[in-house]
Amino acid sequence: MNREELLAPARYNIVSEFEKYATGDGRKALIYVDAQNQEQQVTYDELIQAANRTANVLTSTGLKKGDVVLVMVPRMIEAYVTYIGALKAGLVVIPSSEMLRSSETEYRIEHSNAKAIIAFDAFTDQLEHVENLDKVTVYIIGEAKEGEVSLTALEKKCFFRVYRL
Amino acid sequence: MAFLSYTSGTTGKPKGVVHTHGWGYAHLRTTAPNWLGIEEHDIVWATAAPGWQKWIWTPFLSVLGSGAVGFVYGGKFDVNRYLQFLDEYQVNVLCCTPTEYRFIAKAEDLDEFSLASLKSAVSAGEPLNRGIIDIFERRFSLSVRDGYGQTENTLLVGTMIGMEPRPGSMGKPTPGNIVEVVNDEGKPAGVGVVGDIAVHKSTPALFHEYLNDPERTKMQFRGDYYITGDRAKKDEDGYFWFEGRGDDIIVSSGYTIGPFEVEDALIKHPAVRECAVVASPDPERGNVVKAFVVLRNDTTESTEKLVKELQNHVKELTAPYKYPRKIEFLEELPKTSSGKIMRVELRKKEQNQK
Repeated sequence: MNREELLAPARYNIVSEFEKYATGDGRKALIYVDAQNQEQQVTYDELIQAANRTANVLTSTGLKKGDVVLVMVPRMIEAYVTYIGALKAGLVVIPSSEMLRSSETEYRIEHSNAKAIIAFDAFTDQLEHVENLDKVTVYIIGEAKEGEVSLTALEKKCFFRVYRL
Repeated sequence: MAFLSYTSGTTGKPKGVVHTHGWGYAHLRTTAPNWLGIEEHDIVWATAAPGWQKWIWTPFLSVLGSGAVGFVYGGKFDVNRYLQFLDEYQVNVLCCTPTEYRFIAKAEDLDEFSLASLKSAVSAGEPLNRGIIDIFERRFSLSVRDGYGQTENTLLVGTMIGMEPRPGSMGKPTPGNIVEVVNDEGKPAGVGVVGDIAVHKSTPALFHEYLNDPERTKMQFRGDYYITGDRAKKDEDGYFWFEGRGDDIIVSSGYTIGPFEVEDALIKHPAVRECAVVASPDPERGNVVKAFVVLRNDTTESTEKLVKELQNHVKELTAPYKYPRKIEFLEELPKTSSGKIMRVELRKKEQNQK
């Protein structure tokens, strides 16, 4: 393998690499086991469909290609869905641990001029102390509190259409 | 721009590493087949957590971009549970941290598991000790292959699938990436000469820049090369041999000592669970080698005897001048939130004691 083989086409979105396997034949993508040993599985088809919904909600609520978002979702299937959805919508993802301190989040928002944070509802305590939180839209996977947007609720309402790259 | 990954340097504010979609294209193609050894439909368990660049590298891009099945465990690290999952879910490819491998290798019930489905096991984040690799080799006939890379690039050097492993070596550059050991002038160093591990600026899997920070972006380059800050030498066959982080190298009585070789020797001792080796200021020698050791079991009795034993153990395995003149036992080592041992903290602690 040489350097030239590692050069991407001029128009290229990394999500196309995953969509190759979402061909409707139910190929398994992820097996998730939680701390209580409960198992959950998703296929490539389901993953891409869910990510399309996420991409639709993010763009229809004001985010544009090139906008920066912090994705703060822990090790769970929704992390994959959120990253794929955001990338498909042309957003720039800041991979963010749910363990980030509020000062670290503040710095990232300020430094990157981020437009949104996408977080999981069980891990939003640190966000309360983020002083420049008014600069971003806070999307929550699960139940949103006041001032936040529930990604989950909007995805349920969202009229389904395939989001094209 | 696709990803903006913040990396905490040892000094200054975090840097925002800019990666394009094209970076992902290169990363996937060089790493997934050649190092991880992922094939379509494989069950792959990569334990990195979202929020870290390593999660982007492996569980996200390399697994889903290869048509494989990602195994994801949402619970906390537990040695026996890990081993059970490997057997129960018939995991084919495992990617975890040196710390996790160390705990697994020293598990009490290791013999109860077969790991029969596992065909590829890799480790990244910091070098994996030779003694740990040996345990997997002996017990499971499994070659745990090491890899080295940074948030700013991709896997740069490693033992690839099918490559003849050289014990203690980092392996060779990943296919398609131009990785060299360079000297102070930014030119490739000769065989056997220690220099900086560096990446040619034309390499597709190299980052675009640090966001809003042209100054620090520029500082990272020397000539045509991006400088990683890690030191190594290359042998006549192109294998890289790690010497340590630029700042981690210990100079004692004029000897240059890489901490990793000493740690590698220490961890081969059955009493040692984890260790970190740093320079400790010394009026006569400039510095001496000091080891911080976490023991496998709490044996508080007769530490003096154990210190002697560990020192002799290292003298037998390395050049004798490298043995740790000072040893301190700790309950745990300071680590970054991504699990890397923070030698810098231990070094500071030593300097402040002066």
